[in-house]
Amino acid sequence: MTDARDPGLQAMFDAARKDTANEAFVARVMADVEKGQRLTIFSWVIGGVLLAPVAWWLATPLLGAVDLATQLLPDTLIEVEEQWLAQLLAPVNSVAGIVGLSFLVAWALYRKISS
Amino acid sequence: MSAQDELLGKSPEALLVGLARKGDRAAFAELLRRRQAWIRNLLLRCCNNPALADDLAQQVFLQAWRTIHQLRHSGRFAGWLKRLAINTWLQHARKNDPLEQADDVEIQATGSDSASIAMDLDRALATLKDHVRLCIVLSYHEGMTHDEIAEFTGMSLGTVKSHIRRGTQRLQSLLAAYQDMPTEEKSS
Repeated sequence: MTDARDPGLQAMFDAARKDTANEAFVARVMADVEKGQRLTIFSWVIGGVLLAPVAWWLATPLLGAVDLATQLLPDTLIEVEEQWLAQLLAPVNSVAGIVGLSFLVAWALYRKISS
Repeated sequence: MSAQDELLGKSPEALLVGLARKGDRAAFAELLRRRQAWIRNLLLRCCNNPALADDLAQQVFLQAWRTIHQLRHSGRFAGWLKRLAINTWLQHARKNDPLEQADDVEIQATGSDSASIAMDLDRALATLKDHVRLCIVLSYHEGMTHDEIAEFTGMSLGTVKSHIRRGTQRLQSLLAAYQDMPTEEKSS
């Protein structure tokens, strides 16, 4: 069967089409659009107000953790005596390297599972 | 009408889409004004219920507003909107019981005006199963090819062809009274 249509039915579908303007419908949708935008702004404000004390409360321990991580990340995992080999392995032979690699592997797995 | 509305009214659709993607509500309202009849008609043919068709069309446009920033090519707005409408209808059909199918309707050509034709056509369409009706509407109302319908709905090409063949036969038999009418009288 081709894509050919029955001309009688086609004429009926064409005749049944109404291309009338409906401002009431437009107004209803736009009112919902505005309501949605107001709700989004309100949610952000409420979220910000709720998060502010939490952020203040967590600031000190978070800063401590960041400080510790900054000290820890460049640490080498295995001591390599050969200078050229140490430089070659430098990108992966550190806590930061392992953390970065773990993140990349986890991301690749996530992409593979979710695709 | 303000000068801005007048200007938007004359603007090409691609420009309006570009503005709406940046959050311009007035541009989106103009797009809505231009496309509402098309989407409401499409959904009305699918569900045979004006109130439900308007509710679904409203959902379509709200989703369009929320996700228009994801539309990469402004020129593809119409196709993208149609896809949203079809998906909205399919989701609704999946969640809800199929429309009550009146198998024994008898349709007599009561009038040749567009309102009578629309009413009888919708009555005949209501006797078709949801997926058959969707294929018929996309073919006759939207002028889509079988390949396009298969691509839009996720049905196989064979299923689409079979739905359209069976749907057409059913409509031909139900609307036989109109088939005998001269063509110009049908569309008057």
